[in-house]
Amino acid sequence: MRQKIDEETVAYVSKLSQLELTAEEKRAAAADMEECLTMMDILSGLDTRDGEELLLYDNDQNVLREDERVGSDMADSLLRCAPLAEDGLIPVPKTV
Amino acid sequence: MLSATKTCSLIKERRISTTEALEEVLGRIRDREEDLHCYITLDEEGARQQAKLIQSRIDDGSLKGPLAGAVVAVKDNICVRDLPATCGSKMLAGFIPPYDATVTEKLRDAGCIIIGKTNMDEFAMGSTCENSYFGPTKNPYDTSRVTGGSSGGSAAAVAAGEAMIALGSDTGGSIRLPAACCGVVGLKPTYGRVSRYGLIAYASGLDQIGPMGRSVEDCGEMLSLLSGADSRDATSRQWEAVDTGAALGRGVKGLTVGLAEDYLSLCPDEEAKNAVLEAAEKLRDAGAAVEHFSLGYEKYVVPIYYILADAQASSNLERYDGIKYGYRTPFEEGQDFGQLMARSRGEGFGGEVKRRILVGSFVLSAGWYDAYYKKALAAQALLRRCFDEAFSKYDLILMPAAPSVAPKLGVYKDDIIGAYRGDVFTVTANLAQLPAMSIPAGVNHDGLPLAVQLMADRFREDLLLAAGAELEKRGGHENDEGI
Amino acid sequence: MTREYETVIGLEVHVELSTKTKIFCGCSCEFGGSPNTRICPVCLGMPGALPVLNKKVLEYAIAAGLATDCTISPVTVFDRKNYFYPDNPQNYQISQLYLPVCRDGGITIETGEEGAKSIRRIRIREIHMEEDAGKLFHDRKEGFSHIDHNRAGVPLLEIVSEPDMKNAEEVIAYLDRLRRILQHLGISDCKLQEGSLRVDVNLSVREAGDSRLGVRTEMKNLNSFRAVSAAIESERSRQIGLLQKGEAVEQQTRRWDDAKKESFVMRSKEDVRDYRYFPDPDLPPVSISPEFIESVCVSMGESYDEMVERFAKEYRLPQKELSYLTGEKALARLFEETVSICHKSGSVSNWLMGENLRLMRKEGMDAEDLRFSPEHLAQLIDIFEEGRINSTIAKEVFEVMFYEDISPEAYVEEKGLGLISDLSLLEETAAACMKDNPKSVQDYLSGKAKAIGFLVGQTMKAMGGKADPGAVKSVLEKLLSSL
Repeated sequence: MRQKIDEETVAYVSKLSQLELTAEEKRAAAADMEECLTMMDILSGLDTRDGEELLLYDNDQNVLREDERVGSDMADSLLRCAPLAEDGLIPVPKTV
Repeated sequence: MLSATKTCSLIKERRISTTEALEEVLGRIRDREEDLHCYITLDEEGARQQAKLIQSRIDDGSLKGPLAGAVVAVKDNICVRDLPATCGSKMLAGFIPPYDATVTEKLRDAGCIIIGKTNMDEFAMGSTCENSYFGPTKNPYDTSRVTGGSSGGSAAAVAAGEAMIALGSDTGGSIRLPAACCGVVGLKPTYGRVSRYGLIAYASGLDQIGPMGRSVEDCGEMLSLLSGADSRDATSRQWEAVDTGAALGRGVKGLTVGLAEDYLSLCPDEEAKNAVLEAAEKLRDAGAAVEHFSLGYEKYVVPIYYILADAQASSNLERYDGIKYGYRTPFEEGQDFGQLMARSRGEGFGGEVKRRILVGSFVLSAGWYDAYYKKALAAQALLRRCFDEAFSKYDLILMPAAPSVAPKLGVYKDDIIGAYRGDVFTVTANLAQLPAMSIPAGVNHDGLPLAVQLMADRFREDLLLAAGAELEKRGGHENDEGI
Repeated sequence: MTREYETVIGLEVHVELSTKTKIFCGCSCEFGGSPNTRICPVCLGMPGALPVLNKKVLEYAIAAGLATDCTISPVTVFDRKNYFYPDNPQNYQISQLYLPVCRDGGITIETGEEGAKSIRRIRIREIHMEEDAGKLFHDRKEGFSHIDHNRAGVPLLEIVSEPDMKNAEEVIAYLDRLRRILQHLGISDCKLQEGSLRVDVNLSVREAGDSRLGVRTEMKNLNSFRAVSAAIESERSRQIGLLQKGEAVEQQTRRWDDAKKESFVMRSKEDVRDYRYFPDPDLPPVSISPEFIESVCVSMGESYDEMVERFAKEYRLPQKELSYLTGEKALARLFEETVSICHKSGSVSNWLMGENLRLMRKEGMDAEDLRFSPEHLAQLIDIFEEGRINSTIAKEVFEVMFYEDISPEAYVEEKGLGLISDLSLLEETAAACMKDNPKSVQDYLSGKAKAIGFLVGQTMKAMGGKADPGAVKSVLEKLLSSL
């Protein structure tokens, strides 16, 4: 049985999702998450064993690419979307 | 206001020019846009240039399609090269894609005029269009009410004549719900019918792009234009094209329609319920066999949807880290990559998006994956089997499109789950990957649009068009008058 | 009492595939290029972009599985591995967890000395496909790292062994065998130094006889076989050292520093990441039919072991030579093609293991970098063994051929390097040398047989080295004996 969502869980999940939350947001998030998950917990009452076997049934056509180059000519314009790009490289603050 | 196809016929017959038709739309935008706020980006100049170009191509005979000259509004999560694609979010404010979505390329090839990008709930997460960073779009029928979401801007633009026809996207009802609220037709194609390449993803296993228009015919023609397998989208499927003309003229004689009474009973609004029952009557009169039946899973569809959608969204939105594009928090001395990213995301995303990311990450996390995500996938498979069984008996399924008419602004402010539960009618089609259409069904006692929803088996949009056209004919609700 | 410890080792080997394009998009995989030029919306993780699987990657993965005795899954699925890092454009890596393409295989390794060889089977748990990340540069600007996404999306196979290896010798044998098999398939260059083969070592220790597994650590940054051996010894000692002190081994990821010959902690248990794996909704499950597997099998041709067996039968050469010649596909091919022309397997082997290897080492080349043709090598061997040039000249000619791929025949002709076989000229020159060196003649005649060596040398010199030393000696002996 799931334990109630507390601020520790919120801290863990927000770290996983790389979301920095304000103190107010953290508090509200615990309550919101609890509400959402309670709504979702109703699923535990559904017997889904048959469903697991059905999971891959819809696999009629493989969609694959040939190993041929497709020029995109877009490298420059894509790099321009990164405002700090210089000399063709994208900078980030030093990684740990 | 005429439908897009009717307007384009006039253009083809040289009764009006593309420019004249466009100016009429621009005129309505001048009148109403300030009140309604349908658009995030308007490209008047671009549209004027396109109109001239398309006129010359019509004149020299190179453009013959039924929507050549149509003024199209595109939801702001669909990439149009060199126009901003914000997804209604601060996170992508200022992002200008250097590439078109596949559907955008198809619009251009068909001679459509792309006039601008419409407002939406942030990253398509929402049912009212109030979650937009740029503020809500107002319902043209009553500006104290919402348009429905997430394709609110597109729905309102079509309803108010600020576009002839529009593209929206639908993950849990985001085309059908605003269509219902704004009195227009909204069609969600079968999953895989229309390429998702260039659609900024919310929940990849559920998203589909679809048309929103003033008539069933408009939606049918636009669907044909958009359909087709795309080598850039591995989830798209090649399927027999729908013969729009044939479908529209087919009628419903001999078809069987199942009215999902378990879902109908969930509808709190009597008038909305009656609209469905009336639609059933009309179809019966037109020669279809209509039967009440129990579809099932009505308690489970909303939880299944939100588990799958939130989880997929939490992953799809990981790419927004302020490094390659989009919003980045002002850089601080001593900050490392992780801190920069977390703060950019914290500041760039709105509350609803952050909520769904947190829940989505949780249901995928170690220890919870089996109980939530894996279970939801299995439940989804069972739901599809359930629909397969229903469609072995019925050609069409009829149920409400929305729990009520368009609510007032702010109604769901402190009631997230309430907003979620309103999706119970629409999420079914996304989960089962089925085509579904929302069709106007008159107005309620306050003059606000009512609607009904039809669903068909995978790749049977032709049946939706047939039944939709029949209801349209009998309802006398073809939105030619406008508001 | 000192306890006996045994080591338990498992390997995760990443192999960079030599396809033309990346795994999920059509960008080139070619090495190098200016930074961020081999990119497109897909491999850059742009909004709206979607992955589509490269068929060749699937074929190569199946080939690798067949060559290592694995079972090929009838359905294989891609999963997202979610983690935030700047070299990961989408902040998730598309990999495989739940249903990898190949499972439950193994390869046999041979360890030990001649006469005391041990043969063991190392089991392979699985092989799966995944995408590579971009490259980070840390030294360009203070406080910043820079990203180049050219490598992002390059296809990788990850080969995971069971923890069946017991020591460094077995690990090296496993890696060498794996490398030979995969390189022979032509699916990868498999070069540890270049990064097309990457090794992570998982190591734990336990008391001899204990059936439980100890806590294991993961070791990364191993760029040569020597580093692998050194790291294994070091980690084994470190762990035993801890246990002997009564301390526990902590689960860690460590980084090997080959200069310092030690390892350092990269990530500890507290930093263990929750990757939230889930099936990627953008990539439908891939079904692999028996027919498809058969077609891959057929296109693989002769297996590595079949080639080795054939070499042993067809070319009667010592084991050591066979092992060298079959160590690299390009080398084996060069050998076979040369032998098919000149039919002198022993000689070809000598030249390849002798002069060729020397020059390859000097230039840091691999067999696939060799510039000369089998025809030219065969030619050189023929004219040498026919006696038309002597061994010194042959080596000189080989070196020119090695660098410039000249035709030995033409070169010898042009430079007049052919051995002078004109007997009268030989006798004339020899006689002249005898006349010029009376002391040596005297020494020889008075019984110092070795003095003839000097005369041979002088005669060779006078003939510009273009004589066969043996023939010169015979002529001198004849002349001297007639004095």
